[in-house]
Amino acid sequence: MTDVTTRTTTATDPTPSLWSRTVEVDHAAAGAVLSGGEWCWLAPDVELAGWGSAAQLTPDDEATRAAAAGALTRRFATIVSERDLPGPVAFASLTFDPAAVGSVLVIPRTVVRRRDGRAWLTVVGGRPVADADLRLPDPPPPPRASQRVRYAGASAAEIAWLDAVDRAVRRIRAGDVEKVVLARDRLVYSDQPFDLGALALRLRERFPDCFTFRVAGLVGASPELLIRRAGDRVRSLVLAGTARRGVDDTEDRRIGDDLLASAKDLAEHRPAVVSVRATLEPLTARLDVEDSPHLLRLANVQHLATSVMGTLASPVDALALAQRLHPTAAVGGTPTARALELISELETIDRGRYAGPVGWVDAAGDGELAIALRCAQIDGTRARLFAGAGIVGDSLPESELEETRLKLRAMQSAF
Amino acid sequence: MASDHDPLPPADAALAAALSGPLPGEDAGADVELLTLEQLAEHAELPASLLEAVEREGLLIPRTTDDDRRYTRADVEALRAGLALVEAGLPLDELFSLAREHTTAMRTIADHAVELFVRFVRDPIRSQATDEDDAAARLLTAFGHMLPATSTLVGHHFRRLLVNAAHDRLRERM
Repeated sequence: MTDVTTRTTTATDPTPSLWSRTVEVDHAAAGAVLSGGEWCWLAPDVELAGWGSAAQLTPDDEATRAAAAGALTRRFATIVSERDLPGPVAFASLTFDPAAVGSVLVIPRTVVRRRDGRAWLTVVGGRPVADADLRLPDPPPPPRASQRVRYAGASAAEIAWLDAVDRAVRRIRAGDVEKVVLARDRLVYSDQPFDLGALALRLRERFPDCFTFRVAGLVGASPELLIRRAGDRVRSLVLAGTARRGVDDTEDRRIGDDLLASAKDLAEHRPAVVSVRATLEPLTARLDVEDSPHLLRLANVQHLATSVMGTLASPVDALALAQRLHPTAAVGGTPTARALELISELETIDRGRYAGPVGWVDAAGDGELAIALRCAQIDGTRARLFAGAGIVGDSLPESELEETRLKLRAMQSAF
Repeated sequence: MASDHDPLPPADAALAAALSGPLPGEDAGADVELLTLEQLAEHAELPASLLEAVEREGLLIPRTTDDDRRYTRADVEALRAGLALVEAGLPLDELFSLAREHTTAMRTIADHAVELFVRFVRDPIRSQATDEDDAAARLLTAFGHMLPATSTLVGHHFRRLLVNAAHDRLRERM
């Protein structure tokens, strides 16, 4: 991979330079401030929190969105930073629809990062970073207790959603598409403004194996890794096909075994694997895809999961990989183009950044992006919760309604 | 053991016929007209896809005549009542979930109630009746009284339970 972190601005580049400095900090002290970050990524093997904005990109149409990864790389290239230390990162949260307004890419002024039992503080500024600037942010106030969340409605009537699922099933049976994912939302409110940091912590606690994120009001815990890049190694985790957890171990195993054998769920799962493989195959020198899905058991549901691992043939940064993979069959459908048309025809809600890529990237192009699932868009005392279901020819509308109810409930219970 | 193909004793056959016709306590005139699912959807002003889902959930129970599923005006009224709950704000998914619980519980109770009818009403009638005609007449009379009575009893009791639950909830400040 090219090392872009120490390049300086050239005369032709009008973007002013930024300076970055990183120091190692106390692991526990760093942990105490993480949930106070305006931007957060709490994953099993890395924790990142960011404050403020040193640089921001807001792609608002298809062209700027397509150019976003390149634009971010160029922005990173203007940052003067030391080698051999974790440098600045960008948090990214992109809209589901590449043509929609609302995507956010930000390089925070301050980043706190924990990984492999160590912790670092990175400060980015418009001038060389002084020793005095290298201070951990103040820890957040103690998290507010879980708040009572009250139902405020939905953007679209459930009867219309149920009917949309029925129409989708007919279109699938007619051979128009193989699979399509239909989403719906639920609006909730509280008497007090929501505490986003506390919500992120609760999600983390409840879903420790998931990717908990907080980016510009979008807070969630996604089980679905869209792409992780570390050097030339890439990894993706495909999830599609869902069942509930059992009330005891025996029932749990039975439901899991049924899921692994379910023709309907396998029909939903396979196209998702095929779409990820088709995107990564031309980019990789080697690609290993699990032969058959395994079970991923989470607090509320169990999913069919297929792990995909590979070695890149040539450098492509994590954000560009995520954009090529998006939308996977797990959130769009198969074939992609026709599924997206059907979504815009049948689904009456605006997905915003729900089901879009969310995560972080660094100056070297490494990073980790999940699909923004099990999340809520929060604005003060109001929140919008999302859930979707993969529709195939065997889908029963009422079962899909129930699946999305359970997914919405999982998110709502974290508030 | 009697197989499904053995004819029912005449008195039980009369009861079976009564179960398939207009039910006691329901408007007989309205019940005569049997509707297809499409007609039901039209009368209830709801998408057919919703009614199919409601039926698969066990909440809409068709009259089956020669493999054709038919519905009555009473089903239209029940669907309108369900729609009233949705229009008042109950999310359809939560209503379905509640209804599934209700169906499971009520199916057990319905089986138990039928068992009680057989043991304590039908069997004694058969032992006391002078002949099959007498047994049939008595069975139909008992059924004619008991079905509306049960509907009243269950409806009233559930209303009281709801009101008490609401009082309790208000006491807890919602």
